[in-house]
Amino acid sequence: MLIREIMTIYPVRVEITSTMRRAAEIISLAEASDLMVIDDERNFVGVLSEGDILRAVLPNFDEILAAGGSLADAFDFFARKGQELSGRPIAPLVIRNAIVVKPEDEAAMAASVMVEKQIRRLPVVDGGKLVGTVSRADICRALIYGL
Amino acid sequence: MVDHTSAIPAPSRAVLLRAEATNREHGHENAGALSEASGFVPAQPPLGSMPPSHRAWDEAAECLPDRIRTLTLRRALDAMPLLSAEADALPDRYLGRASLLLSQLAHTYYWIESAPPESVPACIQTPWEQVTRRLGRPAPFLSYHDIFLYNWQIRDPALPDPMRLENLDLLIPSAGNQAERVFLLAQVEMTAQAAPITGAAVRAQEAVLRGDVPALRDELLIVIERLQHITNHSFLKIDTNPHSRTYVDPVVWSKTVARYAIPIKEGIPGPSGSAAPLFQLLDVFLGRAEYDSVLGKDTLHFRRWYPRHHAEFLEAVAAVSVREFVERSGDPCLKGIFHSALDAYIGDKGFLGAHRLKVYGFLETAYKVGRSMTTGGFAGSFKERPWEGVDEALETARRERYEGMPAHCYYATIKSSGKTDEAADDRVKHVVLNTDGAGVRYEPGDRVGIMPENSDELVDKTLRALHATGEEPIRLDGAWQAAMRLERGYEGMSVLPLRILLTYGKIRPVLRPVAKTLHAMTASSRLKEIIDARAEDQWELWDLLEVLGEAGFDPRRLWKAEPWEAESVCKVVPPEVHRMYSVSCAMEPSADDDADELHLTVGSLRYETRDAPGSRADTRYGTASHFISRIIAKPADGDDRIALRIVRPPRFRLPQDPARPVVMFAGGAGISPFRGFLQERARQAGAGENWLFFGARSRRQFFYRQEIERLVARGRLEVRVAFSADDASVRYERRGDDDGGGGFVFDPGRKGQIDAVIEDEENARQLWDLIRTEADGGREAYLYVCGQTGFAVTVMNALKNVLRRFAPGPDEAARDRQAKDILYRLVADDRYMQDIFTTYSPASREATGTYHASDVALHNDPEHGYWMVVSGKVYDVTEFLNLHPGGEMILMENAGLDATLAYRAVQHHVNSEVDAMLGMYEIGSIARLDFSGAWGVAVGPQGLFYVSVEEAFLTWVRFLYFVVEMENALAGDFRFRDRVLTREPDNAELSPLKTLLLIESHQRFLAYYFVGAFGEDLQKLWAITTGLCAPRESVQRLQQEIDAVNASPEARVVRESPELLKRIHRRLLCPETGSDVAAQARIQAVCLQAEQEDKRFLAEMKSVIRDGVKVFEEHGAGAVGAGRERLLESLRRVPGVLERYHTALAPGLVALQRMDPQD
Repeated sequence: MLIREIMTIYPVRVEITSTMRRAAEIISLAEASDLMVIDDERNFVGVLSEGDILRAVLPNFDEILAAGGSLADAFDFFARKGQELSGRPIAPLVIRNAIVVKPEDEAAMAASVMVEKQIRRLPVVDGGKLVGTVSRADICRALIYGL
Repeated sequence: MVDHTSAIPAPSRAVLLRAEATNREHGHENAGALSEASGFVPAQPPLGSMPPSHRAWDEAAECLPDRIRTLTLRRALDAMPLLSAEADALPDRYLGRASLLLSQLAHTYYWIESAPPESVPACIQTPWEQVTRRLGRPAPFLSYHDIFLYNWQIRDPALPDPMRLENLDLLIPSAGNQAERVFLLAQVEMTAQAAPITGAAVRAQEAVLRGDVPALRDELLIVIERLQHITNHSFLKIDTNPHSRTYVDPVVWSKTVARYAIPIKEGIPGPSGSAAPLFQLLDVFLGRAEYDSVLGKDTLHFRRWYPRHHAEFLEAVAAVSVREFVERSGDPCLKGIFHSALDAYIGDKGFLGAHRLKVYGFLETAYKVGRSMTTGGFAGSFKERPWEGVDEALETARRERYEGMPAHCYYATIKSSGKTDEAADDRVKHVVLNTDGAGVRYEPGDRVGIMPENSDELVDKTLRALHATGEEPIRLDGAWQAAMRLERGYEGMSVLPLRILLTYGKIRPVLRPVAKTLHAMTASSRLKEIIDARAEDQWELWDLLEVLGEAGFDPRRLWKAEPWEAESVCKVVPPEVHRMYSVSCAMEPSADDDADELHLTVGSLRYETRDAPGSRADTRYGTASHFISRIIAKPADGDDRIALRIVRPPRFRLPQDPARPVVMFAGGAGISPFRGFLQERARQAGAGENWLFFGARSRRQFFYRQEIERLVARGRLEVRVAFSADDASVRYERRGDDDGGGGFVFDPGRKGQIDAVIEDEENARQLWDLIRTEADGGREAYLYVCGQTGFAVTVMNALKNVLRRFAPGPDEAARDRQAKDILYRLVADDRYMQDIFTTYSPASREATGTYHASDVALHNDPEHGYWMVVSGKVYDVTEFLNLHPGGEMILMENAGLDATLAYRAVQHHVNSEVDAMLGMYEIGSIARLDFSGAWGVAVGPQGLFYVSVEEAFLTWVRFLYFVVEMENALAGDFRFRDRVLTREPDNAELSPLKTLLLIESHQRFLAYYFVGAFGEDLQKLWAITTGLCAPRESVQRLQQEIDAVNASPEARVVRESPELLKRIHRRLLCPETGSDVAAQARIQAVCLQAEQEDKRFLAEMKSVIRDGVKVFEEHGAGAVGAGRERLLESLRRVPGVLERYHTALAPGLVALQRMDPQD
């Protein structure tokens, strides 16, 4: 079973120049947890995950201390920081050395790397271009429905 | 015919002869004491004095204890004249004593005060270097040969076997306390008692060279006998039991003796055990192949510092491999005996196993209370349990000695089996094993480890539950591969069919860790109920798997998993371990090399589990007894071999002097070892009287009745019997003229337990007489108890009552104290020995109380008693402090807390008889709390983090136990104050040494306990607690308040107090100011106050943390709701505790500052 047989060819994607607000919108509309990031020529750049966005908003120890040092201060800071971040570009948060698969790869390869690395969705890249994504759900569906 | 005997000279013989000749010719043993008669101990007693020209050294040494006590050593040695130790000034024969004197003085000079000196004065260093050069040593060092082997004198040379601790004195004691005396002289005794091993090693080499198997066997038997003697006799004299006559107080040892083990310079050997020539010889003789561990490398390093004769001898012994010869010989009896020798040296009950156990106790104490272990300061906080690293190193070096040795166990077949007596029932069988030619040797009191196999029926049930056929290949993990090395036919296998694995694996009853693993995999609520009820042992693997299967769990996961995965069948079914049985016979006197037979008394265990929420009804069988029963039931085809090993308990053996009376207490099948005892005693010429107190269910369980009858008839045994379920009493009736024609007669009587018989007026009077020492007018008998835990408790309580009844004293309290003293001394003298076993029964788990961590934490002092937690059970060890073979100190260090780690570190959990003895003190288990999965988030160094209420509770409990452990260590650290540290009794007054030690203990408290009390742990506790309870509270508030308290002038005075106290103390030692009695009294008062306040600080911290823990215990998941205010409040009290501590200590210190011109 090859990746190209089972992949989604309309990947949820966002351009590298987008803002965090734009990325958050796409995530919430598409109900996807990982966004594929491309440049203006549809070259694959990397992956932006909702987990990374959350991590960026969560305050670190020093920020909590600066905000007052209590748990409640941390919660306030969390809410404020989200607002502040919304206008900023996503570029710093993009994972650029993401694990990718090629359309001709075996689905089992994708499955094993996803299980081992706890990845839910992999970009499918051909000649530097993003051509699709393959998710755990895609593989399960293909296996059980026999496609 | 060619006589090979003379044709092949043994290299070790040549060295031995040459050494003996050289030493004789020179009139001294500077090149190394070595002789067939004395081994490595000097054949001529060490010199008692130097020539008149060098008397100054003798005089300095004679004053050592006094100079240590008064801290005047450095001043005295600084004033000593410089004497030459060159050949023109000092004859050769004085070099041994000179080396001992100078190295002892140098080391004492070095450690006596808190700060090491810049250098050792020339009047010591210069001659020390000269002596060193003349002895051919690479550099000056305190050698094992000097401080142990050249440091003794005999009290009475005319006594038989004079080289015993009791008949020896140190030639040059340093502190001169009992700990030093016993610690050093016990090792002299060991080396002297092992002297025959030297000759045996030489003759063994000769036997190998001429291919003489019987001769080699004889020499190995000598090695075994001597090793067992030093392990179970000489070595045990280093006794941490305070009631022992040869008590080594670990605190006194840590503060005085231990200091000599640390070399002055790095890279120089110290007088450690690895340097002992006896063990170097055993390593070489038994063919140790690896020296790669840290201590292994040390061993080789020390060898290069050895005297010439010793180095040459070791090399010569190594030149011929006894081990390879044994393997080549193919003689199973020789192999068996060789492995007995290995076991006697390396085995876990052999010398090195016993050594490791004893060392552990000393190390834990030394790390907690010892003096500075590095030149820069203290060894550091004990939180990381650094002594476990040392213990690990010892264990690695012990195991390393097995490298390259083929695995070994004995194999036996069943010769016969039957009832123990015509009239007895057959639930307990007398089984005779055929061990002919296997090299098996034993003594009464030894145990036999039998490796059981599960029945086909149970394996089939388990296979069905696993949805498997049994043919499935299972890759083995390391533990399984090691275990299978001993199963004949499967040696070296890395893959086994599932059926075979289940046959040799532990599949009943379910172990707690296995239940937890299965719960982690299945999240089964049924299994959680079982675990919470501690009822997992009501199940076997197969029926538990069926229950899990009904809930959708696929058991095939277990045998499909890889061996390293947690759910692998290799982990869920660990290999079976040996089950222990007492040897039920004495070796035939005709057996010269090995035993033809070995007798066992085997009960069959069968019990019913009930249909209850935590269990389900079924009939269950004990694994090992069922295994033996099955083999017995099969037609004998000689093929059913039983793998066994012989285990020698350090205690539980007949008295060395056969004339001593023996009193045995047997509960049911506990009669087993006593059959061997009685056989042996019947053969001994001049054996003393024998008493047997036997507790049985009924006359049908009067095991070995006829054998016992015959002994009674011959007047060799007094028997008293109690039947617990039979209204009968037993008496022996003589018929005719006492030709053995009499017999037991059963009269109607009242059923009862053994205590009634023990406390019976006439028996009690006999026991009182038997127990007391000859010095007290008694018969000084040896007492033995064998039975289940409950039986052992009953016997001990009954004996206490007997002692109380007869002990002299003006009132009941005095008699009670006296009775206890007699009992404790009886145990310490090794005249009260127990072999306790547990036989599983569902009734045994009928609950006792449940306790909380906050209850346990209170019990770590004489006022509240001493409790500890091991594997979830709570034990009251208050009385056991006086009975513990490992002494009270290690128990006190671990009281009031969860001691599971320490318990496991000394392998107590895998020693069933130790576990069973612990059972005597069980009072209940730790309550399990339900936190219903409640959770929250808190602020930590990484930002926000998840924390469950359960984790919060555990963090509180861990901190509570840590404070308790600090309390224990601090109590131990100050315990030296009323002990005798030096030769002159100094326990009443505060000597200058003791004052300095007080200051050092206080310094350690400030340097490490404060860090512990206010370090990361407290911060984490605050963070978690505010996270769950007080979202508006700053995560830094507590630390800020503590910092504020620490910024006060009082805090500064306290922080700087150790240096201030040391400065003033040092000045008061000067001759000019030394007479200022008032000033001395003032500094002593401040030191004592510091001790009080240090202790009070920890007690208050404990109270604060304990209050928090109680909130969880009372509210469970609601702790962070209803209990939140109390939780926060307890932590908010911490800065106040600190402030109070400063305020209490500061005024006294400020007053002292005025005596300190530096301020």
